[in-house]
Amino acid sequence: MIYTILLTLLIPALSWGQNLVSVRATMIPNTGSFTAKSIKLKGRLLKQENVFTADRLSVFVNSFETENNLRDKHFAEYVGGGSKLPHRRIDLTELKAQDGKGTGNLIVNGVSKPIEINYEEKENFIEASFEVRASDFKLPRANYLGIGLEDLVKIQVQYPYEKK
Amino acid sequence: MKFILFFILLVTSIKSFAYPNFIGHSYTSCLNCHYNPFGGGPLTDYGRAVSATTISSKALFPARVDDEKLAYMSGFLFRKPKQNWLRTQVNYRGFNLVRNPGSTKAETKQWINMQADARLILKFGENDRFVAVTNFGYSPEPANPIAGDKQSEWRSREYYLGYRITPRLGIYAGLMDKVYGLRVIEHIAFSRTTPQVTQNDQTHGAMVHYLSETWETGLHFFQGNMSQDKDLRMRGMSGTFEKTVFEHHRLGFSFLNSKNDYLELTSLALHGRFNLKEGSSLLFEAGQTGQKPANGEEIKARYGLLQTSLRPTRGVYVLTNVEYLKRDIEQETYTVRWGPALQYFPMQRLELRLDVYNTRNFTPDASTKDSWMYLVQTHVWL
Repeated sequence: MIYTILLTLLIPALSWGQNLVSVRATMIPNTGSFTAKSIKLKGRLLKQENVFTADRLSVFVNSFETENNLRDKHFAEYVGGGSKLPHRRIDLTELKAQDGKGTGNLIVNGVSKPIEINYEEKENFIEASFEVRASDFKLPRANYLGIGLEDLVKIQVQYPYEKK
Repeated sequence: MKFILFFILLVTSIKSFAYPNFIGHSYTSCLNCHYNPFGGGPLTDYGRAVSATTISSKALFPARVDDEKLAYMSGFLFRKPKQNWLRTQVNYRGFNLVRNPGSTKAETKQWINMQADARLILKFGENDRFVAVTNFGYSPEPANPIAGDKQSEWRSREYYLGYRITPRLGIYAGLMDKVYGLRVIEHIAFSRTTPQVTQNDQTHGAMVHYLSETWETGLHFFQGNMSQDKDLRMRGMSGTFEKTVFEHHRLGFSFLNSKNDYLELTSLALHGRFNLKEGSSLLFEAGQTGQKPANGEEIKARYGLLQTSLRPTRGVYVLTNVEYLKRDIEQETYTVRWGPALQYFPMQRLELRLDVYNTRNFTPDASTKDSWMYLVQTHVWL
């Protein structure tokens, strides 16, 4: 039975493919979490020898889904800087990575911050993860009807690369 | 076991959009949506909004009414409350119970008003740091009342004060449900009746609740229900512990020990809540309860519950319960009850539900007929 349950839990995770940005946010006071997922990351990730580079990888804030329509809308408005989404794109620029670690600039809400990532190379894509603080990007404290979000969010990216 | 495995495979192979048991929406803790950190009772503002925008269908609303508007209208007066300190709710639940359906001789029908109450919540401080919750209304007498324990049908089944010392730590005192196991809504579930934690088993006491990043626990010390005669009050303690596993699932255990002048009851249980994605969930609980009369031998019972819930479309939930009860583990007799249920929330504030139950008693020396019943339930809340 344990194997059956594990299989059940694994099958949805396998179905996402290789283009995936997932942002995991924890609710305050630790009453759960949700993951906003987008499969619409765009841009060219290049591999030359053992070095990965990208000038710009981008994803639109309204392409994220959280299994809740209203939360999708709130997520886009929150990250996009307001209901009219003045900052509708999240960019990762000047990415350079080697030997499992990399650096780049993350642009959210019109604010650019240098970030450090860890990654693993898979068959033809990389799986990267990093953490950011919403307040570093001048995002206000999130709160909806008494439920807030932790400032620290965890981001994972799966993205295919091209050999240069 | 084979049947259970088959059943899990069956339900998990269906592509569906998920369902309620909030773990299915990644709400690992009940505290998002309920003032009581272990669930049940009045909903918070956030819980009402979740009910309007996630659980209930919006098919009856015109397209211009979006989820933002539905969340706004989820308050008691169909709008967002203008103040933060007072909330009111009204709740009615009734059902038509049909036993032995189709039998010309044995079919019986009965309408039962299960619950009709008004709720009042006072709350103050950041993130509702201090809450005072009470309800009062109609509750039918228990079907099998304790001898000599006559309760009014008009009473309060819940009133308590709660204080969050920190967002993680809270203390609560008053008349509450015991902290134990899974609070599934089926109050006749063996997992609720056997350890005596069902709809009329509230107790006066004090409860401590702690919420960590990866686990949650509660301890409940109680003195029995003060509306009962002193010799009948079940005094003792209970507790539960849950650990978050793989981010969205919970595994836990519970214990309970209580006694009055005539009986000592000890119960232990393991339980799990699994998020099957997009709102679907799978719950299980397995436990053992010992009842030791003051002048007699202890009788140990074992019970199990497996419940799945799936949401084929927003507002509609398909549930299946499989339950097991062995009233005396020294005997070979046991009972299995199972059945599907269909739950429909056409709009927030209205729940319609159909439950079908098949019960079979297995005894080594005799064959017994299955018994069937179904109930059609209406639940309205304002």
